[in-house]
Amino acid sequence: MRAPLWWLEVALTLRRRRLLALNVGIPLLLVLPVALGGAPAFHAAAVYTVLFVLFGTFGSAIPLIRDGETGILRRMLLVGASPRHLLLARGIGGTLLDALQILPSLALILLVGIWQGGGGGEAGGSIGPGAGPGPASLALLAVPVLLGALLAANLVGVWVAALARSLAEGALFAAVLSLFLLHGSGVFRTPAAGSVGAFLEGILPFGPLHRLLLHAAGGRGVEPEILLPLLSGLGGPLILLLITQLAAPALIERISSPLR
Amino acid sequence: MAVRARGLGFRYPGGRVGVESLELEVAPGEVVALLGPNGSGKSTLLRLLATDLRPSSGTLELLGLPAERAGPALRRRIGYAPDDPVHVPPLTGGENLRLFTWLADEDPEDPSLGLAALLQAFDLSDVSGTPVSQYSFGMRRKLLLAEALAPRPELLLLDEPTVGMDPRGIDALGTLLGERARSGTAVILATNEIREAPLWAHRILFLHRGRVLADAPPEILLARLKGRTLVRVTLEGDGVPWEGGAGAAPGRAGGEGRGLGPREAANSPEARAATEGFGPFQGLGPLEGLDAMEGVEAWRFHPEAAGPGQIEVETRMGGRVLPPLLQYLLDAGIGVRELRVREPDLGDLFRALTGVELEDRP
Repeated sequence: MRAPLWWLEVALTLRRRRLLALNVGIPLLLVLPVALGGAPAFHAAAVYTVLFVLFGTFGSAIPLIRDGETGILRRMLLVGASPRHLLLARGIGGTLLDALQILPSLALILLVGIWQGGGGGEAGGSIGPGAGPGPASLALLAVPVLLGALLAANLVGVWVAALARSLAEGALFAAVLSLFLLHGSGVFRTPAAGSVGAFLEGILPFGPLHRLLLHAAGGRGVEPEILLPLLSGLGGPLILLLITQLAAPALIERISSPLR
Repeated sequence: MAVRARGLGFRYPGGRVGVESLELEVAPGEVVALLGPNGSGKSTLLRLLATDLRPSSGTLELLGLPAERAGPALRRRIGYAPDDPVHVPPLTGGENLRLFTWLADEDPEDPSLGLAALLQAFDLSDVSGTPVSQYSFGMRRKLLLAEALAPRPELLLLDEPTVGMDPRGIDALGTLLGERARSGTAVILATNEIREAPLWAHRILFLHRGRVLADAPPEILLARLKGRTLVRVTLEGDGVPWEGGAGAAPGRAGGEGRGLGPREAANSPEARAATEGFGPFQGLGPLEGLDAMEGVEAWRFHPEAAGPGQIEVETRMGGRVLPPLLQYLLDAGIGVRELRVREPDLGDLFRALTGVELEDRP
């Protein structure tokens, strides 16, 4: 049986063990002091969300631009690979890889939350063994929510790669577009209820991850008021996936264009 | 028809002409060689045929389908080896071959595709488990050709396939192309291999500045050169002891209608450039007498020579021109280091048509 194309992305990364170790280790190194440093939950959750989303966006955009520049993407297209299949493979492969690399960091955040036992609170609290239910119950939701956000981040990276004309432009666009979407997703401020900001927060794809991390960093478990938004928030990445698939031929033509 | 182009044109952004008003038909089983210097439009034409570029004008049909509607299904029927051998570097040669075969919607494990035999033909079997990042340029070129051939395409497009390849690889390629053509594959290759092209191709296309100058079987093109011989004379020292009248151009050829190179060719910028910086060029000096020499149809300074140290003489007398030619040069005080006699080839015919050299000749 033939392996699917997305498996190529995963297999190639698993082969580059040093890079894999760096990609697992660096998020851990960045998350560790924030998680153990008693940062207020709102600030800690913002840092985590920005880190994870940028990881996904950069991780998708930069290799795509590079593959466009080297001509390998063009070769694959000219051999007869379907543009939709190629982009889907990049999206799924990238998401799985990012998840693989970020899951240790997410586990650390959840473990610290459990250890704090709800003592982190909105204002941050002392570290120590907790007594409450803690964010352990969030762990079940964490994986699909993380996958959804990373899929969205990877797809944003595809659009960035199509817009950029160089790696430097790609890095710039990835940062600007991600921060813009993160802001809209309520990561840097809490929008007033019923406002346009609140509406945007509900539909933009990084809101669910932020909410989950906010609860985890605050030592809170699954509460009824976040369950529904978290699950419904998974629709955002799927809609983005659909739009990206519809535009795939034009996007990949731009990314791989020899006359770029 | 495997390829049918009518008035095909392509201009790069900025206006540079890639190909212009090109008419081309290639039948299944036919091997066509595109010959032309750098920038003549060979690679652009192949990229149009590979659907890598979209025509700016004209119509193009590939395997019976309009090229503008090219999708994955059409592309899978075309094998294209571009001039740049790009692969997935962390993968081994064997893995790259299987990957590109699979992308072309063929099963790499299908024994009828003969992937192992292809690797063997190109001497890559021993390194098929080595990452491509460790391959030499020539090995990457061979792997690229194997990848283009593996899915058994109906139309095969090869851009400078012999560049960087060893003689065994070139022989293997020639054999494979012959086999594929006999089984109905249309092959179009861009090359400046004036030795191999007539052996491999059923038709030769001369391209110059994006236009087709000649399109004929090699034997017909070579027939135009029949009976002619070229003698290259390498002169001693700095070449000719120049003297003579002011204003004369450095470089000349025989009169109109004579010789392989028109007058314009000898006085071309290339010819001038070849003689630039060598002495006070005020005339042709003792070489002027070559005009009147019996058996000399035409002569010219060799454009690739570092200076006026080499001339090329065209004759219909074959080797019999050597004694009088040598005697003439020695009498004129011109030392001769080497004489080389050869039959004219497609490169000479191309120069005769365009005034431009096809390739560097050793």
